[in-house]
Parts: sequence; structure tokens; C-alpha cells
Amino acid sequence: MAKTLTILWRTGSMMAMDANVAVKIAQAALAKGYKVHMFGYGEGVTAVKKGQNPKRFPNVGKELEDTAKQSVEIAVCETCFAARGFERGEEIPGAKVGSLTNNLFKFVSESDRLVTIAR
Amino acid sequence: MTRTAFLVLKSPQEQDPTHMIKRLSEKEDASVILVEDGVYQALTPAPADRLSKATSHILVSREDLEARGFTPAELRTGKAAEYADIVDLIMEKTERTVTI
Amino acid sequence: MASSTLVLITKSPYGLEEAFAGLRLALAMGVNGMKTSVLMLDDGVYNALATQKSDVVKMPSNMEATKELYDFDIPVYVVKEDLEARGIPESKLFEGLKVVPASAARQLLSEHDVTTTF
Repeated sequence: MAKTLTILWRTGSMMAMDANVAVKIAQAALAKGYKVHMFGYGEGVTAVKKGQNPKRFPNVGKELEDTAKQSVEIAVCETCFAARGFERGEEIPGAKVGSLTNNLFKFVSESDRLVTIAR
Repeated sequence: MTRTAFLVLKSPQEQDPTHMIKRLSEKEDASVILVEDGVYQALTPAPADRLSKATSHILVSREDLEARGFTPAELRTGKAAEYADIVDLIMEKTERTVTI
Repeated sequence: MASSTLVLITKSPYGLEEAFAGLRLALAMGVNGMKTSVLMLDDGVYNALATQKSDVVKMPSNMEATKELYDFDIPVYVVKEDLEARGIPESKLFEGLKVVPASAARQLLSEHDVTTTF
């Protein structure tokens, strides 16, 4: 059975390229046949906000939306999402507004490796 | 012991990753992945030397290196790597990943 | 498949959300029955002070968030050398913490399947 990787990212969508790096690692892992889960925590939840328009910069929301279409489970912390004024339904298609207790625990339990992207 | 991949995202001005690496791993079990401003760690004399002494395997993101105006030939330690190489290190060549 | 998690807390409380977030992540793993441990090191050792008063800055308490972990048998370790480097005597720590030498970190790492850093 293919090994599974969980990527936990905690940096916001525009404050660094961290979330984009998380997507690059996810894409490279998919290309090699691994199963991938992704969880956004803390400021990281901003990367799944629907309707991001960063003009000439890479659109990490779009990147995550495309990644979710490739059988990657993506979830973010609901408490962190609400704390930033986002409501359920404001997330990109394919992302689930969930929790550490339900989603991250399940992801980690199913994984062979956990990579944290944060500063 | 445990083969560990250490992930470094910050420049040597922000962080000396070898403090944590030496605490958590023997040199022969330690690999390091340098992405984003982490690539400067392998381009600057003293930090590159410290990393060489603390780890046995150093991967430097080729695209982050080139974006910042450097070429793989300018690396003082480690080798330029694609994300495919980085994933191979994380999934197959080490047993766990620690972000510093 | 990972059956244990080590949470490294390297940041001090109240200026950044990191330490609190790390303690909540540890709790989430622990309540599900996963073997989980917390290691406070570097500036993370400031979370171990018994005299912290989070209400002064209207924040939730990192001390209380740490003590909640005890109910789920999540041990919380604090690196002795990092306390000493910051001039903090062990007598200033709140109860239940386990002070360990920095050399114990390697053992803790090897005893857990995955690690995450805050």
C-alpha cells in the first residue's frame, strides 16, 4: 500500500510562500504515488479562503482547490477560521472546515510521515 | 538511532538551525532540507560550514536558489534538489521530519 | 501509520499564538487516545512559569492549557539547560512538569512516530 503523508501548514496565504511550498510538496508526493492529507492550522486557514485575488502572485487558494481535485483530503481548523471572521461556506471547494480532534487526528493516524510548514 | 529530515525555511540571519539539529540527532542520522530563505544557509560561509558539520545530507531547493539569483555551482554545501528529491528524502530516506 | 506524536514547543507565550496552538494540538491527539508528549525547549520553556498571568493581557492561559493535558496522561517535559540559560530556577515552574536534560530530546524523538514544531 502506498505510504501516506500529512502536511500541516500554519502560515497565512500571503505572509510567506509557506502554503505554496506545502502545495509543492503535496504535488511532488502525488506524482510519486503517495497518498496526501493537508491540514491548515492557525493563520494557515487563510489559504483556503474562497475568492483570493493576489494579482501577479501565485494564488494558493486556487492551488489548493486543484490539489483537492486530485484526491487530497484538505481540512482546516474551524476555530481558527471563525477567529479570522470567515464563515462556513467561505472555503474553497474541496476544503473541509473541521477540527484538530476529528480531521487532523485522523490524518496523522493514517500517515507514515508528518511534515510541518510554519515559521 | 532515528534518521531525521530537518526542514529549514529561514535565513542564517534569522536562525541557526544547527542548535536544534545537534540536540535531536547525530550527524550521520541528520539530513536537512533548505527551502525558501533557508537556501541562504548553504550559500553563506559560516552557516554552510556549521550545517556540513551537523548533518550528513543537505538538499537545497533548486527553484528557490535560482529565484534568489544563485546557481547550484555557488553552493558551499549540499546539492540542488527538485521537490521530487525532497519528497523522496522525507518518505523513503528518513523516518521522520522535524521543522525548525 | 502513526500511533504517537511529539509536540515541540519552542516559542514563548502570549506574544505569538504558537505555544497555545501546540498545546491544543497535543490535547486533540491525546483525547483520541494517541500517545502524545510535549517538549518545551528554547523560548518554549517560558510557558512553564507558575507566575504567568494571562488575564492581564486578556488571553487564555498557557499554564491551564498545559495542565489540561495531564488529564489525558500527556507528559510535558521542559529542557533544563534552556531554563538555566534564561535564569529560571525549577522552583518557579508550576506542578506536574518533568524537567529533563537536553540529551533526553533524542530519546523522546525516537519514541514517537511523528513530530510537529510550534
